[in-house]
Amino acid sequence: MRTGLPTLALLFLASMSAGAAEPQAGAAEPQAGEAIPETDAQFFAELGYKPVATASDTARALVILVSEGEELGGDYDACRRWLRQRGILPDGWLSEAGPDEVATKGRLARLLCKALGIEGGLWMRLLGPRPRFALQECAYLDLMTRGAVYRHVQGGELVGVIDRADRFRTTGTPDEVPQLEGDPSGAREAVP
Amino acid sequence: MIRFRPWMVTVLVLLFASGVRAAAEPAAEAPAAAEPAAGEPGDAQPDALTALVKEVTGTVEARPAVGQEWVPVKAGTEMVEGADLRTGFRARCVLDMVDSLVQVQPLTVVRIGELARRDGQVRTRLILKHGHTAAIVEKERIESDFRIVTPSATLSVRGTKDAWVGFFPDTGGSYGLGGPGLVGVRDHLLGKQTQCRPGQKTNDRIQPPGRLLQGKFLPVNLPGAGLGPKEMFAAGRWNTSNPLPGGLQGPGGPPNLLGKNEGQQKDPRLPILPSRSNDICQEGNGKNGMESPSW
Repeated sequence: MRTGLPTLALLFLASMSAGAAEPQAGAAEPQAGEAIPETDAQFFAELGYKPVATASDTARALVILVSEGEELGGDYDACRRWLRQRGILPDGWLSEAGPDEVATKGRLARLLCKALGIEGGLWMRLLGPRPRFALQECAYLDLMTRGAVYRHVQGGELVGVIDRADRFRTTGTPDEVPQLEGDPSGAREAVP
Repeated sequence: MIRFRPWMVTVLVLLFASGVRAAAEPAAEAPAAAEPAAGEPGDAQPDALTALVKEVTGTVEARPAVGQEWVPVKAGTEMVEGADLRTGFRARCVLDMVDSLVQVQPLTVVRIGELARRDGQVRTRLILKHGHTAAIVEKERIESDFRIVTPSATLSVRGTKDAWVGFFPDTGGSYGLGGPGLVGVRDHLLGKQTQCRPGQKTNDRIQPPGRLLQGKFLPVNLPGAGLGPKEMFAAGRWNTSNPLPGGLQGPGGPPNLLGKNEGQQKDPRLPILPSRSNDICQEGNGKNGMESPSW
């Protein structure tokens, strides 16, 4: 009985660390016959419903972000080749990951920093864009929310990150307030 | 010790059965109770309206109803109630919805939940799955009931220009008003409502009270552009003109639960700045409506 409790605690810790190292690997398996989105609007809309963003989703979204709207389609290898040409890969994960591997916050933050040229603070400049530093920097810039680096990225979260990253790049702030001009048709009809 | 007798078991079974039956039946009885009597104002049939697509930039697709095919949208396309709209990267779309102009921003999925005229009032409900929208709502010349619904809160507009809503699953919703008017935001989880005046924004992120106070009172978050140097130091602290937390307001005030402002004491010669009317709203552009201090 004396050794039972420590053994249970060790088993619990081992299961927790195993779960942290492999974040829901089975959750992102594509269903048979699933069609690859053709347009970027379809891609991002369907990505918003996915519980987990995969490596192929991340590669395609990054290509669209970096190229400012250019679409390479759902070809995972073509996307990685394009990112490698731009110097974003290798990054220690996406360059070797299978298409269905789960994206985590740390991995995504590191890719984002390389894609947007975010240099970060002292430690990130000294030690490079390590996932933890990269995530802290992205959270500081309001591009991503804080969390554990090994936590998986939801599909909708990846859409939000791409949206804020593009706003940040074009306007310097992720809080762009749109300006609208004009009157609705009902108001014009109501005027005598 | 309680002994269950047969009659007690019977009573319990009967009570349980009646409860189950009562839970199952209201669905059948409710419509009869909800039907208005003939001649009442509620029995008018709503006139269906259509939204007209005015401008399109980039890849914008729509479908008239769930289960139908998505087709590209062009300027001049008419959309009916129940239609879905999605935009791609850097794609935008402006919809004329009779009582309002709505701009759908990039990477957005939105549904026209309701668009009809009932008893002379135009009712508009936009259901935002994720993304950003902005709207101009005409209230002076049209009787309008305009709302944008996100998964976490509802923004209702009370005659305004440049009301905007953004929602993503990781950050939650953010709501604000860029032009004149007033918007109300009701949280779906708590049922709490707040209002945003021109230049203000709010969000529906739930924070623990200590974190909320930290964000409001520690020297962080007001942009310097809208404040003079005297206003910056008005409360004896750096980079903020927010009023002091309760714990630093002297005897009689609420206790200081933070413990992080202990070194920042109030200067007794300075007046206490007026507290802001809305606790949740944050200033978006540095115009916080405070008058210039006279000292």
